[in-house]
Amino acid sequence: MSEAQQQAALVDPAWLAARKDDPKVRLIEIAGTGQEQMQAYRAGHVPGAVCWLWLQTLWDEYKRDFPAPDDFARRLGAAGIGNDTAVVFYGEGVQFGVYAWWTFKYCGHDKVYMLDGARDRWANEGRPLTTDVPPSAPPVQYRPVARNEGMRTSYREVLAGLGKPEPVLLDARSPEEYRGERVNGPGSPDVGALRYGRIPGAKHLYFEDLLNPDKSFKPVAELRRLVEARGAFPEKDVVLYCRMSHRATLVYFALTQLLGYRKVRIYDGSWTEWGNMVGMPVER
Amino acid sequence: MTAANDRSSLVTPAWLEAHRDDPKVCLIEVAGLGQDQMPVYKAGHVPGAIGWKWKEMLWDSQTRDFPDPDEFARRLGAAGIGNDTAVVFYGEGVQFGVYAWWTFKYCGHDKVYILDGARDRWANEGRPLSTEVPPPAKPVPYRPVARNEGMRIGRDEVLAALGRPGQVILDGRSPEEYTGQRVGGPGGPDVGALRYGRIPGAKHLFYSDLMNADKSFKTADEIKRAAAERGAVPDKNVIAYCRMSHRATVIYFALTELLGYKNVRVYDGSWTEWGNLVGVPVER
Repeated sequence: MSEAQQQAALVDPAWLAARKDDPKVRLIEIAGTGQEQMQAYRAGHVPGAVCWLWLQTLWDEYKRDFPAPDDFARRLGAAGIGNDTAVVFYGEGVQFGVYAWWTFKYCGHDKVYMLDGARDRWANEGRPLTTDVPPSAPPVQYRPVARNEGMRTSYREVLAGLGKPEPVLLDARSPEEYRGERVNGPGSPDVGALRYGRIPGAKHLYFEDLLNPDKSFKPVAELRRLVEARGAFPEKDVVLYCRMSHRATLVYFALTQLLGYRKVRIYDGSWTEWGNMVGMPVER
Repeated sequence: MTAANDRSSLVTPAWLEAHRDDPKVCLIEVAGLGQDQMPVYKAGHVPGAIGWKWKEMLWDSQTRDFPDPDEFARRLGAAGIGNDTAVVFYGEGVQFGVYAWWTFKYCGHDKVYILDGARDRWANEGRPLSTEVPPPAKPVPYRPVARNEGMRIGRDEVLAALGRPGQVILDGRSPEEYTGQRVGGPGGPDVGALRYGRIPGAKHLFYSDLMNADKSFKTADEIKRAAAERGAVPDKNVIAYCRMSHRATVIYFALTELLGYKNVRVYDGSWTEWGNLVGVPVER
């Protein structure tokens, strides 16, 4: 077991396999962009996993925002998740699972974990995938909890910080997006923002560079080297963004859960907000 | 001649034909979305027209904004347009010509006109189209001019105006966009915003309802009735928006130039800004 995998919020396939019948552990696959029909889930998922569509379950119904505390409590209760249920996420793509982890933390659900390596590491270890869909859990009561506003930042705060030594801004998008040649990730249609480029002064840290080929996190020493090479040291304020903030949450997880950084925030508006806003400075 | 055609900012094909050799008149076709290669201009344009791509000519090169006064002056001078040159626009689609008219007015160039009905009315009147591209005009000096900030409104002001009496918000998009079923315009891919819907309280006034089949403006009486039915009477503050604000400028033109309204502003961020902004209210 690597250093990273010993961190509390990151669970490995063996840990999960040992708890497959634990009623206080809920496993959820998050279907990301391009998985609207849950194709990957239907073809084979980690046994015991239910599947959620990311936008429908993690965003407010109307606004671009996370569900308000009462709505969050209502949704979790309806899904059979109580305040003390341990929720384990993994995503297809991997960043959507981390985004769900971040959203749960932000919305105040503390017992939330990430399956290291998503289905990739699970399958690479020779563990079976299944097409069995678990029966739906009976609804429970969920007591509304307070958000952790310190995990998040807005365009106003990012704009006010431009040109200052802190926060250190890290852009987790692909090289093509960072350079302003595209506004969407590799393999996707080139849509999402009217302007091309990056937030002025942002350093590039592609989220894929934090992962091994089986989507598990690289060892802590390697992560530390990558992050510090961009000037993001543990004592600094760090702000992370990408296109919609899924990939940014993967960097957030690495910094806060694996490296112990304490002053990291997600700019969840990310490029789909900044690159569509009137009058915002853009660097290319 | 209809009432609409008596208006000074709207010129008819006959007027244009009579001024075709006037060196103080510059005719410009504006190539809109889907016209990046200017296929329609190349296939046949109103004689004497040069072709401009809307975004390259009417937006700042980096930010989502209009060129600042110095840049606007530089571009016009380079195109052989002086402060006293009469610029006549028409668009493909028609709304892009009106958007160019609005942008010129906003940027402070007063002598700017719209060819009523774009190439449609021109051709319907039996006038010939041409494939001849005029030689480039000689550069001239252009004295920088002040913007007319009152023609425009920003996101924070729109947010502050919500629900306020005396304010009417008009949405110039298609019925499918207004009802929140799509975020792309008719015939285009369904992209441009992460959330679907409209600005709360906005009334629907599809821009093409202001036009006849040949893209000329309907009569002032017809337009007045359509506006009044939405509560947009002359003593109200009117905000017009659509997806990127091209279609909204058609409403702006009709209300200000054809009906004489004084308090109309374009929310140029429109749905591609609002529908991507974190935390703003959305109605569906």
